[in-house]
Amino acid sequence: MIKAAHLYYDLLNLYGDSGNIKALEYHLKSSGNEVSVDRLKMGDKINFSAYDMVYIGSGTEHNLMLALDDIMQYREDIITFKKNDGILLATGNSIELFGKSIDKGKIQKQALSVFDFNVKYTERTVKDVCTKCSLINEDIIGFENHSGILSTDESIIIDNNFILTYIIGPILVRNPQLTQYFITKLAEKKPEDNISVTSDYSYETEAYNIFKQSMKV
Amino acid sequence: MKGFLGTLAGKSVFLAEKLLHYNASSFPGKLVLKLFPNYLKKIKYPELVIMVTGSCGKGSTTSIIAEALRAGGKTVAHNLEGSNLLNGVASTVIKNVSFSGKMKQDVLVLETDERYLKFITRYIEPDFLVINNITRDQPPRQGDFDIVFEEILKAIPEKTHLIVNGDDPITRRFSLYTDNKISYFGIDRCFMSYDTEPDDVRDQNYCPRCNTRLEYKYRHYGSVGDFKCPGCGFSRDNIDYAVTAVDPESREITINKSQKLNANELILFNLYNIAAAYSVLSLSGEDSLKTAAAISKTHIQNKIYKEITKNGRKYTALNCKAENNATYNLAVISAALDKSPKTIVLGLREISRRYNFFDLSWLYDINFEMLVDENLENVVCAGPYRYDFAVRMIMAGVDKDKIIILNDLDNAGEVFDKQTKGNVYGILNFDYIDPFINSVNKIE
Repeated sequence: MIKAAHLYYDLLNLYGDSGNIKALEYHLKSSGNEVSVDRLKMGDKINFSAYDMVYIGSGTEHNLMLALDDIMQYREDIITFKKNDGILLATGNSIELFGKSIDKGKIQKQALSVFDFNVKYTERTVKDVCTKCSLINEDIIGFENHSGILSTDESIIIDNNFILTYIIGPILVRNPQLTQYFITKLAEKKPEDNISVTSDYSYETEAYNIFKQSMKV
Repeated sequence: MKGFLGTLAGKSVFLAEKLLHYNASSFPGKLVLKLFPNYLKKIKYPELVIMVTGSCGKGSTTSIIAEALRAGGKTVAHNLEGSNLLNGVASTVIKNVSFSGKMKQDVLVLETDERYLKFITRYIEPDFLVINNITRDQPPRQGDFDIVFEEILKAIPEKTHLIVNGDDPITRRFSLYTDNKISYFGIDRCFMSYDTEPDDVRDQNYCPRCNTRLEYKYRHYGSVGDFKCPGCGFSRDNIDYAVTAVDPESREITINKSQKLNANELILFNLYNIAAAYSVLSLSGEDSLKTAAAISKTHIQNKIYKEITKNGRKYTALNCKAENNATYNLAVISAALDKSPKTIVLGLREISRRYNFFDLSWLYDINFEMLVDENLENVVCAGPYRYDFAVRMIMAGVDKDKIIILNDLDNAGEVFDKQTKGNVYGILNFDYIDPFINSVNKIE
């Protein structure tokens, strides 16, 4: 049984973030695997060691600060989870939680310090994205819409099984290869589960190809 | 003097445009404000100025207000839909002002863009400001709903009486940040209300005052409904103008248990628009009976849906806005209320006419899951994003073999007629409404 958690699902839910959980659940189940997803709220006790994979999405600035205040108590747990090859995907501005600090001009906040970068709020960045990523052979496509900038140039930050990107929303729906990557990783982590990775991604792939074509024009 | 020159310049442009058969509604205003930046300060406005703002339905609400006032015998100056930025408003003023700088009409009714309101109220102070709703809408342009809230808040003049959707915890927030007089409109539990489940995407899940999770007696869409904070008591209460009954058969609605009027289209947005219009008309002293009669007769209510019957099957076009999950969710709720076999048609041509971004994240903020039951016979996905819609529906639980993929809707009528079953609901971006209707009309 694969166990996944969607952190702050009702607080950091600004850009179709639940699509990532839907994609993961759908493809795991359609190839005959068992999966359970805990949808966790602010104030719930988060037991990181109980999960194979954790997902966290984007929110308004106000909601992100609420999430920050709640998640700080789990700093040590998150570092242990990372060390133990736990899989984490963070999309949109939730990646800011994992850096050292968030500088909003008037307000400075300490963040989890799981990664070395700092965040500074400036003008909003709004753009379509098509970028190389070392995890998969294909480019990753998506959309960015955020106010912070990071003190690092990487567009997708990877360390062990933690993957952080400013791309918002259903990145796993739009990038079938990335979903396959995560499912393969889960299979490696749990060999006793005999996880099948054969699912039908044909429509996702069609959508992906049409988008890639339109980016070229 | 500058007011006079401005009016002269503006009216000359209108005349020139008319002679040249050229129609750019905001250009005269743009020109005059360029020459005389303070032009709008010089004008003597009507006794009554009403503005409407919000994420959805501000154009329709403005039109209902203007038509009902006219039916009551008032003269009204009113900007046409879309010319809701400062230049468009200036053009409306120029068109309706005399050379002495006085507006001739009894009432000025303005639809105002939610982010440009602050530039407009700098010059024109409304007596009443209607705030319909604040939802996620065109995020690449508008940012998120918190940003829109802040922009509107900045724009509210001290003496303006606010008329606010009281069912929406986001618009309710104005009561926490202003001392303005506020009246609330809302809709009591009706046949379109649903219970707190499903736990789908809501804009405001937590109390804006104390951050406790809000609880609901019923919901209408997103976080709009009968909410209450168990922590501090922030809640949907004291609704001044409530839709207290909705009859799905006769399409008659009742306001405050006594005033009956015909809603024509039973989509919640339309009912909220009507409640907003009724509130502002009552508060500005219009006769309630006449107002109800006038609203019942307004013709602009036919924008949200259209129905056609072909070969014994009902085809319904539901008008939605891409990048705005609230409009889609209300269409989904409306289609889901039909418990007979049905087909859903999804598609759009362009995500936005205003910019070249291709964000599709909003598809996952729409609760398509609500449509998936044993009555769902087929789903037709059309247009450049046909596979994105198809994947969304597969994720919602639709079998792949029920999905029909079409490049566009050009000859879709035959496909609907021959390959699908049940009543057909087109849950479509506004740019696919006409292609849908045209294709249905071609069915023999």
